[in-house]
Amino acid sequence: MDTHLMTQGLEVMMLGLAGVFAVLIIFYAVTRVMLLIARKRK
Amino acid sequence: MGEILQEIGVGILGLTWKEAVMFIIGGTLIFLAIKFEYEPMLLLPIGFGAILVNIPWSSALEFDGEPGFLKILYNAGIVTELFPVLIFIAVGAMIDFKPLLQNPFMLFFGAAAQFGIFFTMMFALATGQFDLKEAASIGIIGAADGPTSIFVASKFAQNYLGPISVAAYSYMSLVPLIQPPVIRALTTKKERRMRMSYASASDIPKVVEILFPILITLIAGILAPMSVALIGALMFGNLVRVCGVLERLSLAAQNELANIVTLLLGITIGSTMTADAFLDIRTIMILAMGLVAFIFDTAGGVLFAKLLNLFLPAHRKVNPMIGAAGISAFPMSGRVVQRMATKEDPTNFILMQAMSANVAGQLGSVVAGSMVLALVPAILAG
Repeated sequence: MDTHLMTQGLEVMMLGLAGVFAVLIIFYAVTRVMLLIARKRK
Repeated sequence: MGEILQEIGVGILGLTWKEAVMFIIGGTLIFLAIKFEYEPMLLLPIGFGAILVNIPWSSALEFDGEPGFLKILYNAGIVTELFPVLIFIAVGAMIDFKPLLQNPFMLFFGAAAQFGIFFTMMFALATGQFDLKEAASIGIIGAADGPTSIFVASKFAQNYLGPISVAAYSYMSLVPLIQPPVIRALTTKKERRMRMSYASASDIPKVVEILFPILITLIAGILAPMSVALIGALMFGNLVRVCGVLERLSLAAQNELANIVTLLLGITIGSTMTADAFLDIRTIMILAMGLVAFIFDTAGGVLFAKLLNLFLPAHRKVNPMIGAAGISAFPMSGRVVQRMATKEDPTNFILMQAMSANVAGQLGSVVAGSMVLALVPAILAG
């Protein structure tokens, strides 16, 4: 097993998972704000 | 006469056991597509493409030094990544984000259920048989999203495009068999009987439906420019659907575009399954690791839901099975969860929540694919 390769893989895993969560959390926040504003105007 | 016999002889003499095995594999895919309806729109063209390309001196691939139609399609649609992007436009036009907009909280499950991608990538690296780009492409099978798998593999591991695509589509069709045992192993009967409240999706303002694809594209594109092709195509298709003034284009994207590109995509992927490339121990490893990806996606989603329940107030707790629906295999995964809920309690309906998570999984898988596309070259260069 190539430890350097595994370390790189671990980096992709950590940053990748964090990135997916971060992007979807922003999607969530934006969606909530959109709904809030749209419903208030209604 | 002699020339004709020579022509026939070339074909027969060129046939080896490897080509014969590929004919059987191609035939098996066609059989699975017709007999069991396992993703027939993809597996049948892939199976036939695999047969076409393994006929010795096949003119479908190359003839007299000139590229055959399969090679032309490959260069035009796969090398350029055009086919998966066109499929995304079609998929976007088919997705109804309203259940998700009604339950935006479900977006979190679309993230958690991508765990299998990264776990499988590490697993592939641990075998010592694959480099980082190949391992990432194998992991993306866990996106449970054919076009994303094809898009990433066409960038990082064109040599494994055939097995990765076959694994992605095969396991997607096997979701009703793969997910239930994993869900049962990780949840108690009491958890599976949990009820969830749901508000109707009818009161989503139209302006939100229209702004959603535009804002999501902008956010994802600015945060991860690599994602623009995937998210942009998906959201363009969705905007055409929800805008309300492009009914004909929306229907064309959902039907004609989806059908034509699927037809060409399948047979083109099949054309990558030459005996020399496919009959390799690594192909079997890729197929096995695809299953690992789906199992760990499901586990990741369920365990995340259980973790959330530790912090949620009693009235907002979620049925942990919803987490499993966070994979992109739509609508199979949502249906599996509802079927399991009904089995435990015939009066428990969590289909809409499961579908919301399932739609979130479609977004999550594209974001995960984009993350991998952005991170792997950066880390390799760094």
